[in-house]
Amino acid sequence: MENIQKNKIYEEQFLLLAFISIVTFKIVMLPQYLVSTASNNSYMVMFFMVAIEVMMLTVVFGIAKNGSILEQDIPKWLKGALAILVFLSSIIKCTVRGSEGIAYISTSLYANVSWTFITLALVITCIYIAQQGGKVLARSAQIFFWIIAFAVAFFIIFSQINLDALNLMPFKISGDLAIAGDKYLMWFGDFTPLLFVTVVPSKNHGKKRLAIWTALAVLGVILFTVGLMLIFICTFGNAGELMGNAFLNVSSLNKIFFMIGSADLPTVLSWLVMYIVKFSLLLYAMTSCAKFFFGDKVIVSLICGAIVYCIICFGIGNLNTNYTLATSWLRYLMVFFEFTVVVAAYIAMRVSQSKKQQNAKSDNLRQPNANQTDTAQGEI
Amino acid sequence: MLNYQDEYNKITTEFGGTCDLRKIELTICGKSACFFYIDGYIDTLLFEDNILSPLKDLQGDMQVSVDLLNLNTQMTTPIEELTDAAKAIEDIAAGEIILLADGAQNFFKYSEKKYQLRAVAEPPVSTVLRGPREGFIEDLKTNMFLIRRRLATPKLTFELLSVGKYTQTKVAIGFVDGIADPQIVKRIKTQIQGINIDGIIESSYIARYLEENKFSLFSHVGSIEKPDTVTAKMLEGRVAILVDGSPAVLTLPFLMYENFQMSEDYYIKSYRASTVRIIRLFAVIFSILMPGIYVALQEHQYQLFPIKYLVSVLGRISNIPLSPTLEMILVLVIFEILNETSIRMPRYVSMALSVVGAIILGEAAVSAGLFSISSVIIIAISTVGVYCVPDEINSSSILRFGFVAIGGVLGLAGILLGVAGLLTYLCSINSYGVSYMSPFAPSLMHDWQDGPIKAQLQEFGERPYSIPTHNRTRQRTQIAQNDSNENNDSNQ
Repeated sequence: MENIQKNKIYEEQFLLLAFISIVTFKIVMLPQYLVSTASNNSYMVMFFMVAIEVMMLTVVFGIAKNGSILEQDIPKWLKGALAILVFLSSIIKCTVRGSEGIAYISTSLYANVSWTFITLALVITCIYIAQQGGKVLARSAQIFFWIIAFAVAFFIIFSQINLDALNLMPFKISGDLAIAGDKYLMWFGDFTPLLFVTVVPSKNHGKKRLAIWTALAVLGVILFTVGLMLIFICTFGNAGELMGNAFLNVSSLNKIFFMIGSADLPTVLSWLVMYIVKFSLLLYAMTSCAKFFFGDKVIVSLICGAIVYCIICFGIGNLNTNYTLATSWLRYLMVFFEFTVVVAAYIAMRVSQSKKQQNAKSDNLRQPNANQTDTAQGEI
Repeated sequence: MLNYQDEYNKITTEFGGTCDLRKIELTICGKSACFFYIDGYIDTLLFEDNILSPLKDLQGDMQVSVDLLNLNTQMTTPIEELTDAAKAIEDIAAGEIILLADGAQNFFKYSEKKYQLRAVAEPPVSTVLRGPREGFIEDLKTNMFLIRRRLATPKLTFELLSVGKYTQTKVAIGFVDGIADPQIVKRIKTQIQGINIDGIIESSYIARYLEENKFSLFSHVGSIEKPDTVTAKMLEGRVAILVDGSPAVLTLPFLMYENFQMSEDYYIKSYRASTVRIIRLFAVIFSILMPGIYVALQEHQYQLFPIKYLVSVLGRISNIPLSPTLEMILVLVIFEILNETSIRMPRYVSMALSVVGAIILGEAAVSAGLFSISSVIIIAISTVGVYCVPDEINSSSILRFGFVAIGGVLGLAGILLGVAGLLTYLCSINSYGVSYMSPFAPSLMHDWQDGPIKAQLQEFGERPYSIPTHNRTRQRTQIAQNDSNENNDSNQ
């Protein structure tokens, strides 16, 4: 019961977490990789893949509205199987995402600190956030949102635009798009962590406001992914494949870059904040699964953190190894895990619900005057 | 029926021969009697005129009873009967006058307290340019009255408790019935009743017991010295806890953002209030992070300095014998020492102390090449900024040290991770069922009207959603206005 309370989040918090989940890892390395494969039409790959993700997220939302998959009324063996799948996919993603984050920190912040040391601090912080549960994670994301919003607004105000729309030409749909979509599958479909939260309607917000927020979240996702991709291509054209970090390089057009120092801190700051939330979400999924088997103990979270730290530091030495791993056959396994879990959880939930309804009907036939159960959600 | 000698011995033995216990033995209606009280606690003139003299003159052979005493003494408060000697002893210690009479059924309690109190004055830590200047004092009754004077409603309720084995400190739980959530009132009451300690010296003792996480760096209980602020908070649904002997009244539930709301914000135009609030918020953020960021830049990310400033910084720090982290920590420690001393010193000495501090730090230390001028300036700005939110000085000062250490070890990435961890910690705190970071996490947009941007008073139609209450409506005029607008629309 305490666990359910710990993981209850509001609808708007879900939207925010979903936004950060989708956007974070599509704006750094991915644009460069996509351009290298699908050249100037790679924004279409981004659009289609993000569209599939958004559709899958609606299914995840439907599941989370009925509760975390580990709290739902589905067979225990199925929960166990799903937990194992999510645990494995989370390890793979943590490894890939972890390396990408460290690469970003070391290239963008010129840190003269040992990267193993920074990784340790990162894993400790994110494990702490993950250990607090979905509710605190969502609340933290709401505070972090303001840092992201201010940083992005700062960037936009001072940005210098030098776009050439002709770089998008010639417009053609070729097999390269499918190849790019297939090759970089690892960067899509990070929604399993959201299966471990329970979404409840907000007490103070009407449906109208929720609809506005949903629209804003979708718009934000499109702007940050497809929009950034378009800007990236318009700025660099096919030479984009030489640009190591799309978000940072696009922002290097920022006047602040020249005014206050050698790094574009607003951009670095906004991405790193998103990264912390995203990485915490992955660790949250991982620890939730581990806790399903070993109980809600701090030591379980610490062991999960230690595993991730060891893999990042001792398994994946550099970004090239990380790229090789992310584009290997492991990507199919990861996508299989991601989609299987969501679809299986959804089917199990529906079957359980229909069984419940049938039972309720037969009970009502037997006891026509029986009172209905109040299923109102408690306060967060 | 009381045995005079036994009870007399019991009382005197219990007090163990203390010199301030006064015993006035007399004969009332031919019966031996004795008044017990603590010297200095009561109004002796009134006691002699209204109680002692009339009773001394009583003749005849009657049993001493409440009716007899009421008939022959002039009291504004009723005389109470006490059956238990232990309770009588307790009351003597608490400043009451107890009469023991031979052959009487019970002890008799008179209340004629009068003792020296500090005058109601403006609290030194909550001064305002505009608004009431009254502050709480150390007397519970005066403090209750100061609130009652502003809340002239029978719904204002004070529940009295005694806490502390030896001090028997009076603690009053105040709330507006019908506005405050009874569950919270009950929980606070249970929590206070559960305190088992020798003595409560100040309200902060109670605050420590009311906090849900005793190891937290941040205070989870509001502490206010002005009755107008407490009244406003009670009208929002909060519960006030008044402690005898303390000028600080506690309020619950407490939100982090309350630290940034000053009473004056509500007495001035909202534009100015909003500007000042935003400045306070940024002042605290910068004060906590600036020393750490500066150290991080110097130690690990000097490439991030603009080139002209980097040259200037390098010129200044080239002769400093200490590492940037150690230098910043030393400057911080010296500033903390100066700060602490100037608070504790008498005012005429503190003036001289600040001159010495300024000369030593500003001139001598820099000229001697011990510290760089940049570090001194950064700490000076940071220290001034911390005082923008005086209620969080303790936590802010400690956090500055923490961020300097993190910045020195891990650089800017470490600072960012530290901020993330700190914010998550703040988000995990709950104060009596309410999120400490409310109304920002979880986001309650209704309450943002009293956030960094303060709305006009007329827009405060409902009480904050962050605080549980049984009566959400705050301003009926607005609702009436809306109703009349709707009626006009329908007529058209």
